[in-house]
Amino acid sequence: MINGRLLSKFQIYLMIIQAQLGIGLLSLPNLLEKEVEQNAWMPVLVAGVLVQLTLIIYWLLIKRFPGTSYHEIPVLITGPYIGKAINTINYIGFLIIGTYSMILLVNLVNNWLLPFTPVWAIALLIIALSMYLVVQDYPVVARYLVVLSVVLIPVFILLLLILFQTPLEVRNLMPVGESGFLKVIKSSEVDLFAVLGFELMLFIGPYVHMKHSKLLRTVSLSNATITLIYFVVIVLCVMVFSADVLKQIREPVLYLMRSLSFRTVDRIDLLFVFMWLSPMTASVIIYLLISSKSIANEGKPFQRTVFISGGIIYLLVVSASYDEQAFQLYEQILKYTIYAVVFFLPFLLTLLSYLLKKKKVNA
Amino acid sequence: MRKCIFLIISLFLLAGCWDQENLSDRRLINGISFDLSEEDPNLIKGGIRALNIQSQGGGKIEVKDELLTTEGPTTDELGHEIKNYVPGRLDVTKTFIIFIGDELSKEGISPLLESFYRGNLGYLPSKVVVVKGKALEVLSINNDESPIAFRVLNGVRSAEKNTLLPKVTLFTLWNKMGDERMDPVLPLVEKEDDLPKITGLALFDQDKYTGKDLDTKQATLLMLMQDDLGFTGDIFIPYEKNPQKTYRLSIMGLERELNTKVSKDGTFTSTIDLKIKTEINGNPLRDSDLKGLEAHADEVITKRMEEVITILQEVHSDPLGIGMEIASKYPKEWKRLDWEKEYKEMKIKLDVEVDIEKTGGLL
Repeated sequence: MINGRLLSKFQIYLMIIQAQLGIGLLSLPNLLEKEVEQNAWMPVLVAGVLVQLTLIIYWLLIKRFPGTSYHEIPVLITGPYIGKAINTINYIGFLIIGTYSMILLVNLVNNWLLPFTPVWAIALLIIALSMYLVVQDYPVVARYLVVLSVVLIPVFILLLLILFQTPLEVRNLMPVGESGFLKVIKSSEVDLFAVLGFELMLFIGPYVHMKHSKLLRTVSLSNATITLIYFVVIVLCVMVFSADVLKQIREPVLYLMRSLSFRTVDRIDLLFVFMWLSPMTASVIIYLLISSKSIANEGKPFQRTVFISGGIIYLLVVSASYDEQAFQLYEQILKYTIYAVVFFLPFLLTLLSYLLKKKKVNA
Repeated sequence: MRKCIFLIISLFLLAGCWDQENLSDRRLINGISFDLSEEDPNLIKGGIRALNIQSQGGGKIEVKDELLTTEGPTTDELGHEIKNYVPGRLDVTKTFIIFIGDELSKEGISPLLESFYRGNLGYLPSKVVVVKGKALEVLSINNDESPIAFRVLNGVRSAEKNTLLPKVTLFTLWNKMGDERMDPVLPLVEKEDDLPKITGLALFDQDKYTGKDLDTKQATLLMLMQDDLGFTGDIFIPYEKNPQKTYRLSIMGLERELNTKVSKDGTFTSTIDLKIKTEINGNPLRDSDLKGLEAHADEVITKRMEEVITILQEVHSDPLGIGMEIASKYPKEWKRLDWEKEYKEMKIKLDVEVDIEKTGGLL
C-alpha cells in the first residue's frame, strides 16, 4: 500500500462519526418517546453499549486478517463459492440501507427546503456528488468527510443556544425508570437503526496501519461521541416538548430549532437542515462506498461498480418517491437486511474464523 | 478549452430553480385575528393585516398595511377564502402576532392554531394574545406610526421585560396546551380610546379560556410564584398608616421553592417558599423603618398572592405546574387522581419573605 493512501487516526474517527450521524437523529426523539415516554434517553445508552460490543466483534474479525478488505475475508474463510455469495448479500444489503437513507434524505429536503423542486432533480444532485466522490476511493472520501465535519461546530453552538434560550422543563424527565427494563431494551432497536454506519469499520482494513488496540480505541471513541451527542439531543427534546406534543412531531429536532428566533436570523430550522445535509449525504456516500467495496476491490472494476450502484440507487429512490407502496416495501425489508448484513454475517464470519482457525499469515 | 465550454454550458443548466419566489409577489401578513362570527356561531371570522409591497422604481418601495376579513369554519379555509381578495401569495412566515377574541377562545384555541404547527411556513416564535371583546376591533385600529400588529407586539415585549407578562410564544403555548399537568396563560389586550392596551393575563384550562383574568399587578405576583422574573419588576405596597399612598419595591432577585407533599389520607399540600430581594425605589412618605416596611410587604404580598391562588383554583387553571410536580413525584397517585376535583380542594401554602437590600440614592 502506498503511504499517502493510509488513513490517519483522526480521519477514521471523523469518518465513523459522519457515517453514524445522519437523518436518524432528526426523528429519533419522536420514535423513542412513543415507546418509553420520559425515559427516552435510556435506550440511547443501551444502544451505545450494543454498538460497542458489535465494534469489538468487528475488531476481532479484522484483527485476524490485517490489511485485507472485507470482501476478501469471506472468500478466505468459506472458500470462493460461499464467499462470493456472502459478498453479494453484503452488496445488496448495503445498497438497500443506502437507498433507504437516501429516500429519507430526499423526502426531508423536499418537505423542508425545496417543496416545488421535483424529487428526481434533488436525487440527481445528491447521487451525482456521491458518485463523483466515491469513484476517487477511500482517501478522497475521508478527506472530504473531515472537511465536512466543520459543520458540526455550528450545530454544537445551536444546541447550546437552545439550552439557554428555550424554557426547559426538567420535570418532564421524571419519574425515572417507570417504563420497565425490558421495554427500554426493546426500544433500543429504534436507536440502533439511527446510529448505523459503524459497519464502515469492516472496510478500512487495507487503509490503516496502526496497532490493533489503537484502532479499537479510535472507533470506540467515535461511538462514545455519537452516543453522547444523541443523548444530549434526546434529553433536550424531552425537556423542551411536552409528551403529548413530542408524540405528534415527525422531526422534533427541527422543531427545536424552529422555536429559536433572533433579531438578525429567523427560521434556524431551515439553516439547520442545510447544515445537516452534510452528515446525511455522508451516510449515502459511505453506503455507496462500502456496497461497491463488497464486490470490487480497486481500480477500474471498482469505478464501474460505483457507477452502476449509483444508478441503481438513483432509480430506486426516484421510483420509491413516486410510489408509496414501494417505500413501505423498503421499510419492511430494511429491518431484516440490517440484522443480516450488519450483525449476523460479521458475527458468523468471526465465529467461523476462530473455529476453523483461519487467519491471514503475513508473508 | 473543452472544460471551459462545458462549464459555460452547465451554467445555463444550473441557473433554473423551482423554488424561487420574489418578495414583490408576496403579501406579508403581520397580524391575524380570529373571532366568532356574529351571524353563524359555527363559523369563525378571520382578519389579517397584510403588507402590500410595491416597487415604485428607482429603488423606492411603497408599503401599505391592508386589512382583509372573511368568514369560514376553520383556519385553513379562512386562509383559502382570503386569497380571493389579494393578488399575490399570502405569506404567514412573518406573522408576528395572533389575536383571538374572548368568546372564541372559550371554545378552545388549539384547533385554530393547529395549521401553524403543521405547515412548515408557520412562525413559531410569534405571540398569541386574547382580546377582551372582538379581536378584529383591535386589529382594525389604524395607527399612523407603525402597523398595529407591531405596536401591540412591542407592547407585549416590553411588558415581558417588566415582569408584567410571562414569555409566551406559539411554541411554548403548544407544549402547555396539550399537557394536562400544566395550563398556559396568555396576555389580555383591550381596545381603549382607539388604542390597544394590555390589561393583564387570561387564565386558561388546557386550551380553553376560563373567562377569568388577572390584572397586571396580579400577573406580576403570579410570575414571581412561577419563578419567572423578567428584566425588571416592580411591586407597589400601600403604607400601613396611610393606605392611600404606596411605596415601590423593585425586585432584584428571586428564590423560589415549590414543594408538594402527600399526606396519609391522600390529600396533597403544596408550599411555595419565596425569597424576594428588593430595592426600595420610591418612598414618598419617607418612612425610615425598613424592618417595618419589610414585614408589612410580607403580609401584603402573601395576602395578594393568596387571592391569586384562590382565583386559579376556582377556575381550575394551573400555570404554576403543581400538577406536573405531583405527576413527576408521585406518578402512582397521579394516575388514580381526579385532578379536576383535587386541584380545587388542595391546600397551597405560601411563605413569603421580602428583603429590602438597597434604598436607592437616599438613605
